[in-house]
Order: sequence, then structure tokens, then C-alpha cells
Amino acid sequence: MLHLANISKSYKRGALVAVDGLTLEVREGEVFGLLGPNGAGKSTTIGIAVGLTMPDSGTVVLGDMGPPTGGPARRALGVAPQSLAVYDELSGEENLRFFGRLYGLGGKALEGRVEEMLELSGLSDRRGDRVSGYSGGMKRRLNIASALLHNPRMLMLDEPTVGVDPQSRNAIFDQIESMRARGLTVLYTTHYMEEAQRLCNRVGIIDRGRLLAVDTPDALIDRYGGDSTLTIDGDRGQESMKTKDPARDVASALARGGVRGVRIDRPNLETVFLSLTGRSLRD
Amino acid sequence: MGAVLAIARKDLLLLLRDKGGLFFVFFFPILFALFFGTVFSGDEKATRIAVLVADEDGTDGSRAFVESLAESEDLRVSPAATREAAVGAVRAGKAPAAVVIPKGFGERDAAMFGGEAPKVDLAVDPSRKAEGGMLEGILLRQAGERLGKKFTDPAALRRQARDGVARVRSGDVPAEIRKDLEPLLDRVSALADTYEKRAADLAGGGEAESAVAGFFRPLVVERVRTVAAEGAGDRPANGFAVTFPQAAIWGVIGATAGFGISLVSERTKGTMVRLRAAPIPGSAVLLGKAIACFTTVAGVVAVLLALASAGFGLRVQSPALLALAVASIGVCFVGIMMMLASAARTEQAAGGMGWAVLIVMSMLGGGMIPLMFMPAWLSSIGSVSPVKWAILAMEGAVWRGYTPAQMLLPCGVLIAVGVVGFAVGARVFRSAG
Repeated sequence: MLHLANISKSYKRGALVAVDGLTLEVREGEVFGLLGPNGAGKSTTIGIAVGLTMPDSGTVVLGDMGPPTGGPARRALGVAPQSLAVYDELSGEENLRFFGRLYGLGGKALEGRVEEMLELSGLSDRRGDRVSGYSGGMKRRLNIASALLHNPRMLMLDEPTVGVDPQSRNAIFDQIESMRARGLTVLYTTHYMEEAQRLCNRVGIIDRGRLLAVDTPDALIDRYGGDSTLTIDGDRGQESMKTKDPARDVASALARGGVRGVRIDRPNLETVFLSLTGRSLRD
Repeated sequence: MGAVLAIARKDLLLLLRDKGGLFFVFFFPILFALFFGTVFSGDEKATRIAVLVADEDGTDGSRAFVESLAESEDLRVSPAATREAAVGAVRAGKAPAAVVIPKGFGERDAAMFGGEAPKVDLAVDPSRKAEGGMLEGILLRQAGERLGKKFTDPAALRRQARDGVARVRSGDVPAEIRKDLEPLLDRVSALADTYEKRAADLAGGGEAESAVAGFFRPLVVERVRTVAAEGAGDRPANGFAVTFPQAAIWGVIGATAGFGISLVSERTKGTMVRLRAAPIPGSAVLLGKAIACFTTVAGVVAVLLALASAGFGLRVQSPALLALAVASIGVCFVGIMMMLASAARTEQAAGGMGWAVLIVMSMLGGGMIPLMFMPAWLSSIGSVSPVKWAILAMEGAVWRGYTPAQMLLPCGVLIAVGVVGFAVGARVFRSAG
């Protein structure tokens, strides 16, 4: 669906490299996560993918629609920027209507889509209220709904859960899972490894503008995550060990007896990132 | 085009929802126009120069002079008991000016030939220099008119001639001058006889008087009509005709600053990303914003002038030329808005810079103080301000009676500024991505 080939982008006359030779493919119908810390180049990559930022080199192709700057590609893309791209002094409904008109929607088709999006984002009962009165989570949901309004083939979500409370975050996750169930292609950037692990079919680990690894979360963990940590609380006190097969080692410990409790810490995308970069995602 | 109009509609809706912005665009200018319009249009007597008059002479001549001052349309005369009271009031800032008629005024006034000129003392508040100059002119005019009357009144003329002859004969007048002066005064006395004879021959003595009056008037000043407004005389119908166009500029400035800030805000808040990602040309975003700004600018001018026409006696001379002026002002300030928005990176910068630039433009261009009250050097500097041309274009259409050809200069300047501003702003926006 989306092909980025050898993309590079730098600022300040090359002093600041935002994206460095990045190549990736987002397949039709998958949720692809770009996981990396702040400043890794995720938003620049999204900007290039939607045609708002011109790369210094490399090519971007959106399926059979060509480069993302063309009209057909733009109609096929939905963008939810990291900043809340909605108007505070308009109501949720007015925001949706306005963005719908930019995509040529009108009349009953527009009203129908507005209705659907309000429903999807759980804002139907606050539809007429000004956005300035919404919570951060409601604004985020509206931000996503505005990107989905014109029924795009691919959705770009740039850090959609930044600054959101846990309850709203779960509502956003539900929104994205429902998109995935409907087969919408999504490019999702985040620096929260739990989100990438929960929502994404495949994940690309990005740091300092370079794409370090791409695969399913499980495959990445298997390849780069290292061993699980097994902690046994028994008669001899607490023991921790690294293990490739925690189930077998737990069974052995139980067979020996004297075990009061066990804890298995499986590797995750955080440990994958640590293994690939030597740094934590939150550094 | 649908997207452009959707953007324009959205921006107008945002303006309507912004109570602070709306106040500065519509309500502040109305308050401005009403306040200053009332000041300039109020009681006509209140606009005359107030002057205290102390008559130390107390003769018929001095009393007649005071009466002539009191009859003047330009003065509001109040009597003062003494010279000290009159001058003291001026020193204390309680009165702008005082005229003291010293002893001997009547005697000098009566002695047209051979005596000294009558004299008055004038005290003016140093902060009211302009009024002082006007007052001197008014005093000289009154004296001139009195002199003219003396020359056309046969009895007065004969008396002046007789007294003159007596003074010449009794004084130290050199013989060669006395030789020429005595026959002249005889002829003046004879002229008085001729007046009386002619007045008796004609049914109306006034005609004879008017026939010779012109000989003794040093200067006739006739005001040429400089405005086309019927019944407006040589000035706008009232103060509101000046203050409403001037106040409309404040609304225009409010709209320009507001839309400039909103354009920057689109960039900082991220909505510009969504607008640019939509399948519309990049120019549509700027065009939509420009249409909203133009509509507001034109709207505020139209609302203010309509209000002035409906309630404050403003008569628009040429609605077609006014439409041209309004359109030109709209184009101009859309361009200025684009330039300001392109030069700023944050809303705070746009707000600070926008208001600073626009207020200076307004100060220089007559948006704060009418151009007519400005010193000449400031008024000529004001030509660099589009505000001056905007006010001139509006006044040209409303009460100055400009022809289409005369409107070309102010409207041409406004459109040129607007086009250049829009082009520069759009270019900066495009290059900034």
C-alpha cells in the first residue's frame, strides 16, 4: 500500500538528520507501528508519507495512486496529526462537517458520515458543544474521527494517545481495533511500546532517523528481546534466572517443591529497543 | 471553490464566536465614531473660540468694537471685569484667550486721519497657538469691517474728515504734507455729501451704500465649495462624516490583526497540516482566509457607514465609488494581513507585531488624529500609510465629491499595496512549506 524507498531528510543544511535512508512498506489492511523515542524521526516520516514534507532523496508511492502529493492519493489518505488539529471554537459536529467539505463531501453523504464518526468516537451526546469544552481524550478522538470522515484507504496516526488519560486511551485503542477489524491500513507512530505491541500487526523500530528492524512484535521480541526472567519465591528465598523456556523451568521448580510463588518477565518491545540501541525508549 | 468557501465560512464563524475579536472589529469602532463624532458635531457654540474681553476704555467706540466681536460667528465672547481678571484666567488655563481694550481705544478709533491706530492687547494660552493665530485674524477682520462701515456712512465720514482737518492744522504735521492732506480731507467731506445726495435720489439708500462699499474693502474672501454634498457647504455634513470613516479603519485594523493571528494559529495548532493534507490546492487555504478577511473588512466599513447614514446624517455622494473604495480597502488589508502572518512564527509574535505595525500606520495615516489637525510634515509622512489612502478613498466617495478619476490614486495605491502584500505573503508561506 505505502512504499517508502531510501528516504532521507535533514534540516539546518544537513546539520540535523531527521530521516536517514529509511525504507519500509506498509501492507494493505495492516496496522503498522513506527516505534521510537521522541525525536527519532517518526513525525517527519509521516509528513513525507502524506506529501507535506519533501524528502531530500528517495521515493514515496501510495499503492496504485502514485506519489502522495497527487489528488487521488490525498483523497485516499486520512491524517491525524500529533497536535490536535481541530478548531476549539467550533463544535465537534461543525469540525467534522468542515473537514468533510474539504474532501468534497456534501449533503446527505456528509451528514451520514458525520453521524457515523460521532458514534465511532463516542461524541454523539456532545456533538453540539464547542471543542474548547472537551477533555483531552475527547479532542483526540475527534482528531481521529476527522481523519476518518472521508473514508480513507489509509490512515496516518501520529502519536494519537499523547497527553490522554487511561480511560480515553482505551477508547482510542477500541477505535483503532475497530478500524483494523474493518481492514483499514494504518501507519501508527508511538513511543509507547505497550500500544505498538497491542495494536500493530507489524512494528518498525526507528531511532535517529534510521529504521533498525521491522517485523511482527513477537518476531522482534524473539529475535532481539533475549531470554525471559524467571523469579522463584521459595524456601531458600527469592531466586532470579534467565531462561529461554520459562514453562519448562517453572515445571522443574514445582517438581522440586518448596515454591511459594513464581513470576515470569517476558521480554517486550522495550527490551528489543534496548537491545538494538543500547538505550531505553524513554531516554 | 467549494473548499475555498468552506474555509472562508469557517473563519467567519470563528470570528463570530470570538467575543473579544468581535468587539474590536465592530463595537469598538462604533463607540469611537460616536464619541468623537459627538465631540466634533456637538453644540455649534461650543466649537467657537472662547475669549474673555475686558473693556478698560468704556467709550462708544470700544463698546461698538466689543459688540462686533460678540456678533462674530467664530467667537464666544464673555466679559471680564478687569485686565487682571482676563489675563489671569488665561494664565490659569481657565480661558484660551483674552482681549483687553485699553484706555484711548475709542479716541484712536474715531481718528481715522492723522491719528494713531486703535490698539488692543491679546493674551493667548501658549498651548493654544492655533487659536491665537485664528483670533488675531478675526480681530483684524472685525476692525476692517468697522473701517469699511465708517467709509460708507456719510455722517461718520464727514465727521472723520472734519476732525482730521482740525488735527492736521493743530498738530506738528510738516507743511508739505499738510498741503496735500487738507484738500484730500475736503474731498472726503465732499464725498460724504455725494453719498447723501445719491441716497436721496434713489428710493433705497442701501443701494447707494452698497455701490460704494466695495471701494473701501481691502479684501473680499469668498469660500469656494470643496465638497459636492448638497447643502453641506464647504465641509462635511457633520463630525460623524469624519469620525465614521476614521473609526471604520479601527475595525479594519482589528480584522486584519485577527485574521493574521488566526493564520499563524493554523500553523502552530496543527490544523494547517490537515488543511494541506486535503485534496485541495495550497492556494485554496490562503484564498479562503483572504475571502474571510476581505468579507469582514468590507462588512465592517459597510456596517459603520450604513449606521452613520441611518442615524447620524451621513449622506453618501456616490455609492458606486464607495463600493470601489471598500473593495480597494479590502484588497489592501488582506495583503497586509498576509504579510504580517507570514512574518510571524507564533500567535504572540503575530499579535504584537501586527498591532504595532497597524497602530503606527493608523497614527501616521489619520486613523487616530484627523489628517487636517496634523502638522504638515507629519501629514506628508502619512502618505506612506495605507490608512491615509483608505480614509481618503472613503471620504472621497462619501462627502469630498471625488470623480472616478480622482478616486484612481487612493484606490490604486490601496490595491497595489494589497497585491504586493498578498504575493509576498503567499510566497513566504509556500517556501515555509
